[in-house]
Amino acid sequence: MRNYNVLKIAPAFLLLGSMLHAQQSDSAKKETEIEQVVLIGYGAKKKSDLTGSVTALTDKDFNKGAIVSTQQLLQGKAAGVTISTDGAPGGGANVTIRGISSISGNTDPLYVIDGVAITRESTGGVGNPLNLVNPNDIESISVLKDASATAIYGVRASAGVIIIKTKSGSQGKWKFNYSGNAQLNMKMKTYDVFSASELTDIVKNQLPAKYDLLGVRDASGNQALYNTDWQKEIYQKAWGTAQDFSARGNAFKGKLPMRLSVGYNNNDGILKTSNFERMNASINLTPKLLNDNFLITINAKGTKTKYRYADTGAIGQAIAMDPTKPVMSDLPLYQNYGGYVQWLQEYTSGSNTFVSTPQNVGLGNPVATLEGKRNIADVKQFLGSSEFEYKFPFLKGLSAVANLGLEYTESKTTNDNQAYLTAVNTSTGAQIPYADVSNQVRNNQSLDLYLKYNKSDFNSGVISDLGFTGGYSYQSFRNAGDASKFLNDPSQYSYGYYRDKGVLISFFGRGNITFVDKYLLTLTVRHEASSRFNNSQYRWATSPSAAFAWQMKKEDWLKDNNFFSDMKLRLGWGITGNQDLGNNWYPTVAYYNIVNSPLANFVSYPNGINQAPVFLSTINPNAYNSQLRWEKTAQYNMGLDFGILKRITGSVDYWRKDIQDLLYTAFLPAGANYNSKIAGNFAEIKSQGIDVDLNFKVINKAKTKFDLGVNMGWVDMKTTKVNVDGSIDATSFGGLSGLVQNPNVQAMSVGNIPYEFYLYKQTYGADGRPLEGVFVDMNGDGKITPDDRYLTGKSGIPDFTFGWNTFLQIGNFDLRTVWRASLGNYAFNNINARYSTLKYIDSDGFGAVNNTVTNYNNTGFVNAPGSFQFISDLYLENASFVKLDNITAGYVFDNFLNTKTRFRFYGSVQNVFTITKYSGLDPEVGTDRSKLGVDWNLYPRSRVFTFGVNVDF
Amino acid sequence: MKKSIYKIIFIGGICLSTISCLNDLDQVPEDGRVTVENQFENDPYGTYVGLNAKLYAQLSIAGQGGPNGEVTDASDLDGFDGGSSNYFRVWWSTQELLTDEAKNSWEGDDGMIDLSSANLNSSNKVIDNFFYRIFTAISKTNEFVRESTDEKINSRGLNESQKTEVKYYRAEARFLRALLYFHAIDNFGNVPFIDETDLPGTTAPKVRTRQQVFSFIEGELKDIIPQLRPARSIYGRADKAAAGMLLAKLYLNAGVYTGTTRYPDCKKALEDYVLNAGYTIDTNYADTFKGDNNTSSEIIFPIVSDPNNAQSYGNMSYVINAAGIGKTDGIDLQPAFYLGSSGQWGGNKTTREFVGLFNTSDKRAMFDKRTGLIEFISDLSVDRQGYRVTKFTNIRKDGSYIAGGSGSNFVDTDFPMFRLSDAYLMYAECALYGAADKNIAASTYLNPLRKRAGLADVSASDITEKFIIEERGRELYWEGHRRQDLIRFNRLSGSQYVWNWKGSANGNSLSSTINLMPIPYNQVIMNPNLKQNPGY
Repeated sequence: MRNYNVLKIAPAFLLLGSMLHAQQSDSAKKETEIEQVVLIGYGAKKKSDLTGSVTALTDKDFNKGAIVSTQQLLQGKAAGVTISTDGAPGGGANVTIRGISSISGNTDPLYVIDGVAITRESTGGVGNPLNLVNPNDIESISVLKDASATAIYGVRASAGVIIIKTKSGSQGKWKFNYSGNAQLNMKMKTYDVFSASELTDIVKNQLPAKYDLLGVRDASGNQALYNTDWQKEIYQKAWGTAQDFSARGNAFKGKLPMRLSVGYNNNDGILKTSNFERMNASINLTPKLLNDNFLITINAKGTKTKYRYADTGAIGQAIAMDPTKPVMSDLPLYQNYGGYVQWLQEYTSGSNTFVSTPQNVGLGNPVATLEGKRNIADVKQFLGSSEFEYKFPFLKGLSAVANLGLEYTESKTTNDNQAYLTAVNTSTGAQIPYADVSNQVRNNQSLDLYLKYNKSDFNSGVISDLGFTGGYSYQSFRNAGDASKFLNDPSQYSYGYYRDKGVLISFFGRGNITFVDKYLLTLTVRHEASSRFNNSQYRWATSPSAAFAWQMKKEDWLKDNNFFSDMKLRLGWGITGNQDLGNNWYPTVAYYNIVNSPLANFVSYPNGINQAPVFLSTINPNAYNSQLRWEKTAQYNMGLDFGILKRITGSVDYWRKDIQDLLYTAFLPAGANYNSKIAGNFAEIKSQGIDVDLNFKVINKAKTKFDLGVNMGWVDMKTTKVNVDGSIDATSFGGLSGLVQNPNVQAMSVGNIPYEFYLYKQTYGADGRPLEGVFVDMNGDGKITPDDRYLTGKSGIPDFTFGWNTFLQIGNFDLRTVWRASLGNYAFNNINARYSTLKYIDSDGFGAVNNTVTNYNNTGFVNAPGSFQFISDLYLENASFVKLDNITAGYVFDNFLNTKTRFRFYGSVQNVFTITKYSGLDPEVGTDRSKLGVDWNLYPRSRVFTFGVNVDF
Repeated sequence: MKKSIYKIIFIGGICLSTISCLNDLDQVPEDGRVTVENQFENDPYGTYVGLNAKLYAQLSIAGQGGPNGEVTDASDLDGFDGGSSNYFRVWWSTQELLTDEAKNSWEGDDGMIDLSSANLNSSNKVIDNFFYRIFTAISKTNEFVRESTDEKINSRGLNESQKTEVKYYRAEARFLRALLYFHAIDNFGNVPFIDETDLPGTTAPKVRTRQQVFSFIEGELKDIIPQLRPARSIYGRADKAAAGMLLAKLYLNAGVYTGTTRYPDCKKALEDYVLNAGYTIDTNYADTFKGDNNTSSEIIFPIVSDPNNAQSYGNMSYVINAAGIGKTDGIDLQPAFYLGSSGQWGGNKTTREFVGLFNTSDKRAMFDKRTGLIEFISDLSVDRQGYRVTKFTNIRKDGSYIAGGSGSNFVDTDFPMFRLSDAYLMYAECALYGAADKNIAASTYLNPLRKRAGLADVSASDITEKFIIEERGRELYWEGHRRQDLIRFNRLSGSQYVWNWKGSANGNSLSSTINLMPIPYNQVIMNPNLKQNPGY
C-alpha cells in the first residue's frame, strides 16, 4: 500500500492496511498481517515480490462518500496519479500517471477490468468509459506505473495500467450487503457579472444609443426594466441517490462460488435538466472443477444508462444575457418562443411583419435553452470475460490459460428540441423544431492464450523461485455508427454513416527468477502489430522490459534489525509503445471519400447554355501519412520500499521517461498533403520525476487508530525535439474559444515544458491598469507581430502534486479526510479574455446588449479581443491549489439490535473547500487534454452532501 | 512423457499462431471511404469523373458535406470553417477589398477590416485561409494528373470514348493547376511548388521563384491548349479559349512577375484563342451578371452556382448577399429579395472615389445610393456607410428568381472569371504599349463596349494609361481583377491614386510592400524554405 507525504504534518495517521479483503471484525485481538496479493499483468504476485512500481489499493483504501465513478475511488491516493473529474453527473475524468505521456488524444492509462482491456474512447453518450463498473463491486485496484510493470501490456500501456478486479463469491454462508445513500449537490462559485443596475449605468454612460434596447417593452410600449440573476436561474439544488445490493456465497455445496449484484443510481446535476440514471447488474462465478485443476472465472456486467445532457452553452448564455430582462413574459412578441424572453426585433418590410434575432447567432435565453433542449443518450453496455485456467496434473506449476473478453456498447443519442428554440423563418413563417438521432455500436473482442509456469519449491541451490509466462493475444475493435440530422425539416435532412475496424495482434512472454530468496529478476517482452499502421513499413513494435529487486530486509545484516521493518530496492527499465489516435483507424491508407452531399455538386452545361445543367457529385482524396509509426517510450525506474518500526511504511521512486516519435495530429505546411492536418510522429519529450508515498500509523491500538498517509509526486518535463518528421506548427496548441476563429496560446518548444503558454507581454499604464492592445515589442522591430510572443515558462502541468489522508477510528466511530494539492500549474482565463470588453456588452456590433464579467472594471477594454489582446499574459494566472476533497464520518453498529447484521451509517461532504489564488471558478480547469490549462465554460463542480448506510448481513 | 507433452504444446502453439489471422492487420475502411485501388477497380470511369468534378467544385465549395455540413464535414480543410474559408470567397475578398472597388464592415470576421484598410500583417486570417486553400487545391489536381497518365488510362478498362474524355479531363486538371499557381504567384510571389511527382506526406514543399513558376505556367498552358476541348464546348469546363485567356493574362502581367513585359505575346494569345473563338459581347451589360447568366454569349470561364445543387456560403451567394444592406436598429433599407435572395447580410460596399470614375450616363454604373446610406466611410465597421453595388443579382432577365436553401440564401448567378469584354480591354492595353494597332483597338474593341454603356466613342489618341486603368474599373468591377490591374499600373502603392480607406480614412500613399501579400506567419514557421515577403 502506498502512503502519502505531507509538508505540514497533520496530527493524524492513516491505517496502511496490507490486509487481504477479509472480514474485519473488531473482536480480533491480534492483527495478522496477511501478505497482500497484488495483480500484475497476466498474473498476481505477493507485494513483497514485486519488482515494478505498483500501487495496490483495496476496498479499505478507497475514498468513501458519494462515489459515482470509479476514478473517484482513487483521487489523492497514489503518488504521481492525478485525477480530475468533470462536474457533470456521470461525466468523464482524466487520469494521468507520472505526467503527460503523449500529446495525441487520450492519454488515460489502460483500464483492465477482470482481464479485459476496455476501450478508452468515448462512445456517443458515455462520458466515462468506467461507468461500466459499479464502484461498489470493486475488490481491488492495481496501478502499474513504470514500464517494467506495464510493458507486458504492450502498446496500449505507455500511460500506465490500472487493473481492476471485481468481487467474487466466497465459501461458507451467503453474505448480503445493501448500501444506499442520498446526496445533495449544491453549486459553489458562480461568475461575477454585473447586476441589472450596474449594467444599466454602463450602457447609459458608454453606449447611450443602446439604452432603449434594455428591458422589455410592455403593452403600452414603455420600457420596463427587471432584475434577473441569470446564473441563479440555471442552477438548482440537485438530489441523487444510489442503491446497491449484492449477495456473495456459493452454490452446489461450495463448488460454485458466486456473487451477484444489482445497483441503481440516479443523480441530477446542478445545471437544470441534467440527469444521470444508471441500472447495473453483475454476476461473478468462480467454479473449480476437476479437483481444483480447472479454474473458471466468469464475469458479466451489464449496464443500462440514460443521460440527459444539459447544454453547457447555457452557462455562457447566463453570463451574457441581459439582466434587465425577465425570464418569461406574457407579451405577444414572445408567444412563439414559449413565453421565454429572447432578443427579438420586430420589423416591417413591405406589408409583412417579421420577427428575428438581431444577433443571428441563436436564441440566447439560458433557461429556454435548458428547458427547450432535450438531449438524451440511452446507452446499453455489456462487459463479459471468461477465464479458463487448466493446471496440468503432470507438471506441478504449469497451467494454460485462455481469457476471452467482450465489450459491447450500444448507444442512441437524440436531440429533440422544442419548436420555440428555432427562430421563425422570415419568408415562410415556419418554426421547425430541431431533431436528430445518432446511433453508435462498439464491439471489442479479445482473446488471450498463454501458458504459465511457476516453481517455488526448490530444496536448495541458488534459485528459490522460477516462473515463465508466454502467450498470444488478439484484439479486435469495431466501431460503427450513423447520424441523421434535421429529422423535421426535409429540405435540410441529411444522413451519414461510418464503420471502423482495428486489430491488434501480439505475442508476449515473461520470465522471473528469484535467487536465494532475496534477489528477484523479471524480464518481459511483447511483440505486436496494429492495423492502424496498414501500408506503413513500421507495423510491428517490440516492447521489452527488465526489472531487478533486492529484498534487503532478508539480508543477514538487516534481518533482525528492529528499526527497519522492511527494505527493498527496485530497479526497472522498459520500452512501451503507443499507437493511439482515438477513432482514427486509417491514417496510413490512401483513400477517396465518395460521400458527397447533393447540395455540393459540380455544375456544368454539356447540352448547351440554354439547356438544363448537369450535376456531378465529387470525390475527395483524403490526406494520409505512409510514414506513420509507433510512438516509443523508454522508461527507467529506481525505487526503495521501506518500513520503520512497523509504524511507518513508504516508498520513494525516481523515474525517467523518454518519449520518441510522439503521435500528434498537427497542422502541416500548405502543399504537403491533401489536408491541413495529418497524424504523424512529430516530437520528443523527456520527463523525470520523483514519487514519494508514506504512511504513518500514529496510533495503532485495538479500538483506537489514527493513520496518516501522504503522497507526493514531482514531475519535470521537457520537449527535446519538435519536428521529427516534416515540420509542424509548434505553436498551434491550446486553442482558445469564444470567437469564430480562435488563436492558440501554447507551444511546444525545444528545451521547454510541453504546452507552454506562449503569449504577448501586456503593458500597463501608470495607474496599473492594462493598456489595451499595447504589448512589449520583444524583438525591437517597432511593430507588434507574432514574433513578439514570449515563452512564459508556465504551463498547465503542475510541478508538484500532493495528496494526504487521515483516518481516525475511536471505537465504532470513524472519521476520514482526503486532501489534495497541486503546485506550479497555471491557467489561462479564457472567460476573462473573451468577455472583459465593452465590445462584448455591445454584442460585437449586433443589435443586442450583453452582460459581461465584472473583470471589465479591471480592464476597461473597448475592442473585441482580436488576434493580439486575446493572447495576452494578462490572463495567465497561477492556479496552484489546496483542496479538502472529502470528509467522511461514520458509525458502525456491529450487532444491530442483536440481529448479527452490521450497520454502518455515514455522512460525508465532498469538495469541502479550495484554497487558491486563481480568479476563475475552479483552478482545476477541465478535462480537455488538447488545451491543458485553458479555462472555458467548464461545468462547475458542486459540493456534495451525502448520507448513507451500509448493511452487511 | 514430458517430452511428448512439450511437443504437443509446441505444435499447439504453432497452430495457434497460424490461426492468428495476421491478415486481419490489413484493415481498410468499410463505409463511404474507399481505397484508391478499390475505387479504380470498381468504377474507373466514375472515379475519374468524380475526382475531376472535385477539382472544379473546390474553387467555390468548401467541402463534401453541404453548406451546413448536412452530410459530412462542410469544410474539407481541417481547422477552417466551411463558410468563410471557401476558396472563391477568400480570393475575391483579397482581390477586391484591398482596392478602391470594395470595402467590408464585418468586425467579427477576423481579417476583413484589415484588408479593407490595407493594414496587412502575417496574422491575417483571410490570407491564411487563402494560402492553405491554394495549395491543398493544387495537391488534388496533382493527384488527378498522377492517376491519369496514359499508362493508367489504358490499363483501367475504359472504352475509347471514355479514354478521350479522361484525356480532356487531364488537360482540364492541368489548366486548373495553372490557374491556381497563377493566383499564387500573383499574390504571394515566391511560393511552394508541388507537382504530380510529389506524393502527399508531411515534409515541407520546396519553394520556387515567381519567375520559375511563371515559366512553368507558360509551358503548361502551351502544352495543354492542343489537348483541350474547342472553345464554347461545355459551359463550366475549361477549353482552349479559357487556357488562351489565362495565357494572355499571364503575358499581360509579365512585367510585374518577371520584370520583362510580353505584350506582343499577349496580343497573339488573344487573337489565336479568344477574340476569334465565336464569343460575342452581350447586348445588355447587366445581363452578364444576372441569375441566368449561363445564357451569356461572352463568358469564357465561369464558376458555376446552382441554388439547389451547388450551395455554399462562399460562392456567388457570398458576393450577392453581402452586397445588400443589413438591418440596423431594426430598420431595413432595402426591400426583401432586392437582389433575389434573402441574405441581405450587409457588409460589402464601395468607395466614393470609385463611384466618381463613372460618368452620369454610364449604364454600367449600377449603385444603390438611397437615403440612409452615407457616401464617405469614416468608420469601416458601420454598415450604413458606403454606397452599394447592385451589379450582381440573382434576379433573371425576366424578373423572376430562384433562391435555394431553407433560408433562401443560395443563388443561381455564375461568376465570370474570364469574359470577352476583358479580352477587348487587354487588346487595347497591348496597343497602348505598342504591341497592337491603336486604331483597331479603338474601333473594333473599345467602342462596342462604350456604345453598350451608352457613352461616346473613343479614338486612338484617347488610349492612355489613365484611360485604360479607369475603363477597366468601370467595365470589370467586382470581378476580381482590380488588385492585379492597380499593381500593374502602379496605382496600388504610391500616392498617384488615393481612395477612401487606402491606409486611412482619407487615404494615403502606401509603400511598395503592398504589392505582395504577406505569407502567413504559421506557414513561414512550418516551411523553412519559405521566406517572408519584404516589408512584413
